[in-house]
Amino acid sequence: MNKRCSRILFATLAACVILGAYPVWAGDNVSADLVERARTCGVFSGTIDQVNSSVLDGSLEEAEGEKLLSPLVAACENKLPLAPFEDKLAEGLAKHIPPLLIARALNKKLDEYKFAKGLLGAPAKDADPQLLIVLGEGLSKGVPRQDFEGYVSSYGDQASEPFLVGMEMASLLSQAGFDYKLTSSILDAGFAANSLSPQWRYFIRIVLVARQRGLSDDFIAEAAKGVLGDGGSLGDASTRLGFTSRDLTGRDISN
Amino acid sequence: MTDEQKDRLLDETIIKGIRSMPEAKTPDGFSARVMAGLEPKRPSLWTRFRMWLIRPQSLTFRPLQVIPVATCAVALLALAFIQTNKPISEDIVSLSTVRFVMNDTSMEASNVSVIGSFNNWKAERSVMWYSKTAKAWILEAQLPPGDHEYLFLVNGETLVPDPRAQMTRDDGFGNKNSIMFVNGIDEQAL
Amino acid sequence: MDESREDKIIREVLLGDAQAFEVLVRKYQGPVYNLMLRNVGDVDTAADLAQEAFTRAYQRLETFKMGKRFFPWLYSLSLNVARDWLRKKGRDIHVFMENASVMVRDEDRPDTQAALNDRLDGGKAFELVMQLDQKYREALILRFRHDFTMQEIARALGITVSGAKMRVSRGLDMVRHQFKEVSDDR
Repeated sequence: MNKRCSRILFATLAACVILGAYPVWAGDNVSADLVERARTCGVFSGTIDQVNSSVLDGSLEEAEGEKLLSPLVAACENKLPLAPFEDKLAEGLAKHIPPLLIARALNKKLDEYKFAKGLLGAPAKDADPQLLIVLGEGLSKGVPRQDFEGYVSSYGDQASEPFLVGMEMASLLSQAGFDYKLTSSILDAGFAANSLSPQWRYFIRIVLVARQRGLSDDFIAEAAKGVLGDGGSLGDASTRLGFTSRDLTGRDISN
Repeated sequence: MTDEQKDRLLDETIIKGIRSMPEAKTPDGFSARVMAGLEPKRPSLWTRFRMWLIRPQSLTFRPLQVIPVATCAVALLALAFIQTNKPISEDIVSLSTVRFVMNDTSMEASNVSVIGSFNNWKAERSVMWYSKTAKAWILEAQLPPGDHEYLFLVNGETLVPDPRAQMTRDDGFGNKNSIMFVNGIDEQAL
Repeated sequence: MDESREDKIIREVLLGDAQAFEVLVRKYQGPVYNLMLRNVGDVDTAADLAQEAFTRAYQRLETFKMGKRFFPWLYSLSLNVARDWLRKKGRDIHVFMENASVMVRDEDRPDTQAALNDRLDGGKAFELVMQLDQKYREALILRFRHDFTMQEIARALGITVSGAKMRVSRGLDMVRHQFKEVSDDR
């Protein structure tokens, strides 16, 4: 095996030198080089095939196909989680969005993820993909960078599970227009009492219902702080705000 | 017989049914037809190298299984690791039942689907059915925990947000997606 | 045919012997053609799509990882051909199975051994499998007809291993559920 490996290495290196000069053939296909990079790196083959076949059947031009695949290849080669990019591409294609718009969204996402990775400060292998996705998706969905910068600097030394939960809370609250100052006062209470259990990531649902009932964000925040300070659950928060769990499910067709 | 045993018996029947399922015979001349459309390959330099590297060993060595070139080359050339990442939702087995509802009092639409992040935005997987009593299109689905973005696809061409949605969010393309939060195991805690 | 034999064939094809590919076509034309037939319902289109699948496999043979099983790779590719066609045609032939379970309510009914025996009908079971959403149907067929491992199912369908396990167990659940309901209506 060792002999073979070193033979392969030598030959591969030699091949790389020679292939440097090898022409990439054009055709009615997305650039073979780009596709090869995508496959080698590990972009989901279904996504690659989807773009390829759209180019083949004419619904996408070659250049458009390349603009769609490039951000995915870049994300992959930067060791970023790929599912969010693949999903966004699938969404764009399913909605028949103009390819250049899709590409723009993908490239923006790429920027946000690179920023997120930098913010988390870990070397590539150690960056927890879940954290990265929460950050990256949050930024893609409009959370201001300074909110997350504030979050990481305030709570960066917390244990990893509550840190993740708190970050998801912060992300969703920010997307819903909840003031970050209020969010951080809630998180302070939660971290101090160590009561940010996983269910709290969907505190946003309570916020949305409470707002519908005319409660102010300040009032909601006070209630949440109180409950978290007492080590209470999400259910306790909804009780304190005066509504039942039925109000929250929103899944009933109770017309 | 307990319910569990009945279920297991049924499973055996189902599996047997699948194993012995009738298979249609491929049309005559199929393989010839496929072959007629294929041009012989002209291997690139790289392919020739690759094939040379993995050619069967001569009998003086212990016969080795053909090994993928990548296993050696990857480590040495520091290619990016192969990710088998899939949408995170696939890894979580705990699913919650959610119900999508689109009101349609006089059944104006002829077909409606839910497309969203959980089904890769593919309509064929989530066709809704029309309930005359509820006067609405309904779909019950099993979703993993998360915040799921979705829309209704009406008559295969119109995208409609869900007026009952818990929240909406810009989709990055200038439209709005509806959002459904699924809390998973803690669903009842609320 | 074991892996190393298939690898030899693939190697020969890659080096320019197109005819060698026919061995693989003949070996797998049955399952691929039937996959298409299940998805499109008419024999001519199924044959066209099956041909398209093999052609695509031939064109992409350079990307096949030697040493892995060829059939899962071919199957995955064939599934994509089928999906592309379905998407283009906007065809929703199969209703998402979950719908049926909404309309049907589980009720306790007394069950005798005789009644149960009457239901032991493999053909019926197969019909119900065929009505499943493609996502679950293919997983069941790969698992129980073609004896794919969970890893191979995952690879063929482009999902994780736990996703594959989920689809197989959910698929069985759904067929079992439908089986009981259908039998109760007789």
